[in-house]
This record gives sequence, structure tokens and C-alpha cells, in this order.
Amino acid sequence: MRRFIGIIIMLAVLLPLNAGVSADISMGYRSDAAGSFPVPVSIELSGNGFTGRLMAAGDSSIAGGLSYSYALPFRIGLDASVFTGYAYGFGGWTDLLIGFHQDWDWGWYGLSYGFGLAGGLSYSEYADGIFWSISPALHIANIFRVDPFSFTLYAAFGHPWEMEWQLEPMLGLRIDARIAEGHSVYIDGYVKAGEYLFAPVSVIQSWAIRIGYVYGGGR
Amino acid sequence: MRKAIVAFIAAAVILSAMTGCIMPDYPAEGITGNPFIEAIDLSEPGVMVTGTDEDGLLTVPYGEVREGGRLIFPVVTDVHAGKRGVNDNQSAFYSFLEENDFPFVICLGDISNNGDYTEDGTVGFISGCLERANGNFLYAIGNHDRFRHDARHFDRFFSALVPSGHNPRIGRYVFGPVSIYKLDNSIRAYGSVQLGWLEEALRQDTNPVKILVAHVNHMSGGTAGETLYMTGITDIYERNDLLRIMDENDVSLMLTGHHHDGGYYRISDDRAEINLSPLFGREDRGGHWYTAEVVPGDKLIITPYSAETGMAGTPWTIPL
Repeated sequence: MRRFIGIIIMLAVLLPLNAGVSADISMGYRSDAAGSFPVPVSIELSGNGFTGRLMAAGDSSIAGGLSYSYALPFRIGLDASVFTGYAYGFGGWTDLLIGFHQDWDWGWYGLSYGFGLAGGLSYSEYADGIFWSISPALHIANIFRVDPFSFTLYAAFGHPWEMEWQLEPMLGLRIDARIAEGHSVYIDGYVKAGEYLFAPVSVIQSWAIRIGYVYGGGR
Repeated sequence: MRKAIVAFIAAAVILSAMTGCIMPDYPAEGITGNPFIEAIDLSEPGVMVTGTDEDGLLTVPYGEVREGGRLIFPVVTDVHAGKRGVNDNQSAFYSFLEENDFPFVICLGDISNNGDYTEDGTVGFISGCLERANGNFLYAIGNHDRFRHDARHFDRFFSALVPSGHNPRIGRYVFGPVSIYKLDNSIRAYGSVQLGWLEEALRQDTNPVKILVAHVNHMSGGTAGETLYMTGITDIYERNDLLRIMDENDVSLMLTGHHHDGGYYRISDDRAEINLSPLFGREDRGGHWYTAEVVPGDKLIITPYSAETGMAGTPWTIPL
């Protein structure tokens, strides 16, 4: 973990030297049905439509992935991503996602939505086979801007900054604050529902919160 | 900004202290009396009213294995009492029980279709099984058992069948060398508290045969049936963690329902999840019940039966 944080700090120092690349570094806390994962740390590097991510939670899990968004007219982007991880004692998994998103921007207000399909593979040393899952990947985000802040209220099946298996509906709020040109900090949190289709109760399956720093605008 | 960061850190610390897991800890507190249970005569042989508390789990001893060391018991799931067409299949199952002498019946949840345990159909099915299976009815909670009343009916109904203050949704039933653990995964999750109980109880369990029963299929994908994220355990950590617990504690079998398709999921050479088809049946597949036969030191045999014909299908065998 110390080595990982060291890499992040080093990248945070070096990244501003590389124009055209943006970075997103965060740390936080996640709790889910299986337990809690303190201080998940992540870093994202974006440029030319590509975003690479690396995450680690405590000393127990590490994950990484790469996504690509191909820009089309009318603020539409075609998205594809692969994300894979391993948690000590919990096995590994790989998620694949294809879809598209569209962004609208009216200055003080922005709207983003996207559709896709996510496939998950999971493997455990305690089972011979591989599990798989297919989930719809949906998201919608409302962004309200009051300089220097922006408030993003989002709902989704799954979330781009969490390691996923089966995507479940979640609701989140992110508040960004621009601290200087090209530099901002944010606080981001969500709650995610467990069963929602076949039971009348709404159970919070997991929640997470993180703080982060963005250089260069992020994704 | 500094204040905001301090506030965030404070909030994170508070939330951290609150967590560990925010899944329900399945309390049975506050459940007193049972306005519905009068429908069942508890003076009958039912022994589910006795048991002991071991590490938070209810242990109910059922006596010795009969029939030459073999234990055979019927298992049904997804009764959905009150749903159209259920009565014919129930009648067929009752006849099967009457033709045999089973020590108990296990129902893997969704006994009720809407969670109402005042309905004649729901109460009638339970009492019908009790009358025909030595008064022993083992049950797991299903997602439909939470409908309308969010398990309040289920908890109050079955709390009369376990010692006061104990949880009717999880338990351990010991029958000679066979331990059967029932779990609550009716919301497609277990929670770390429940899995912690299970692991500790299994660790102390010296019985050679251990079986888990729950409603929702633990696996998904592969031969356990296709899934479009609607069935199976939602959290990959939990799913894999229970696989570890099963492996480290020599659990041979997990029986589940919910999926309505049925299927066999091979976990390893000597471990499997068998997902059972429902008793109420689908129009294209009909209803089913099953028998589980335990031959200690040798094998487990799960045999499906058609509710329409009463005929046995091809069994699955798991070596012990």
C-alpha cells in the first residue's frame, strides 16, 4: 500500500509536466455486504479518449482497467472498457462494458446519460468453474454549476469508480470545487441498493465515499 | 475548503465507526407472540420448539439417522402458495409424503406468494407438511416471504417455532452425522454478520456431512442457469467468500431455489450447488419436488420428482 501511494504521489507531481493528460487521484472508504474496505486509493489518467485506472483497497485488493471513448457528433461517445481485479481471499473478476453516452451542457446545468451492456466474469480458487453475469449499464447525471463549485447528482446501475460484479442501482452525489485553473478537488459518495426486483424492501448493499484531486479536467 | 475537508474526514470517521457492514443483522428482537400460529397445533410431534443456542446459531437436534444409516428427506422450494395451479402440485406432494416416512421436510423459501402468513394457502401448506412429516418442517426465507409485509409475517409466524428471542431465519439442524444450515439470502445477500456466524459454527461442527440451504441461488451463470443479473448473489466478495467457507469447512452441498429453472452447479469434485425447480411449476416445465439422500461416508444423492407424474428423474450424486 505504501508503495502504491508513493506511485500516486510521484505521478501527481509529474503529471502537470505532461500537457494533454489529465489525472484523477482519490482515496476513500467503502463498505459492502462482505465487509468494509478502508482507504481504497485510485488513480485515473486520461488522454486522447483513453482512461487508465488503478485501484487498491487496504492491503487486500488491487484492480485496474482501461476504457476508451470514441467521440461522435452531437456530444455522443462510444464507450468500451475492461476492468479486472483481485482481492485476497475473495478471488478475481473481470468486467467488460460496451455502450454509449451523450452529454449536454447549458453552462449552469449539464445532463449526461448513457446506456450499455456489462458482462462480468469471476473466478475463485475455491471453485473449478467461472461465473458470469450480464447486466444493463445505465447512468444519468445532473450537473449544477455555481462557480467555483459543481454539484453532480447521479444515478446508475453500477459506478465507474467501483470494482463491480453485477451492476446494481445506486445514487450518488459528487461536489467539485475548482481551486485553480486546471486543478480541482472533489468529494464523492454513493449508496447502492441490494435486492430491488424481487423483494419489496430497499436494502443498502454498499456505500462509499472518497475525496479526490483532479488535474487537467479529468475525463 | 479546509473546513469542508475537516468535515469530510469527521463524517468518514463516524461512518467508519458505524460500519463493519450495514447489512441487516437479522434481529428477532421485539417479536413476541404469534397471532397466526394458532392455525398449527404445536402439541403435535414437532420438535422445532426446542433447541440450544450455540454461538448465536440455533441448533435443533433431530435424533439419530434411521433406515440403516441413511437419511432421506424431501425438499421443495418456491411453493408460492396462493398462486394459480398450486393446489394440484401440493396434493401430489402430500401423497408422496404419505407414501413414505420422512423425518422432516425442507422448504427453501417462497412458501407464501405474497408474504401473507394469515392466508389459508400458506398456513395450509405448512400444516399439511407437518401432518405428513412427523411434525418437522424446516424452512428458509425467500424473497416472496418478504412481500407486502417485509418478513414481519414470516418472522412472527416462525418465531413461535424457535426458542424465544432466536432468529427464525438462520439455524443449524443436526440429524445424526448430518448438519443442515439454513441461511437468509432473501435479499440476494448474506451480510458479514451472518457469514461470520456460519463460519464459526461450521468450524466447531464435527459432523462429517454439512449441507447449506437457502432460497436464492448462490451461483449464477454456467450450468446453474443463465442470469441477467436478476438472480444469484449480487456481491462478488460475498459469493466468493462463501465458496471459501464451504471449502475450508468441508461443506458438500448447497440447496437453493428462487431461479425457477433448476440446475446443477459443480463447484469442485466433491462440492456442488443444486438449484431446485419450484413446486408450483412453470407452464412449460411443471412442478417438482426432490429427495436428498445422505449416505454418510459415501455420497449425497439428490433426486428430482415430477409433480405431474410422480416419477423420479435422473439423480445427481456428490461424493462425500
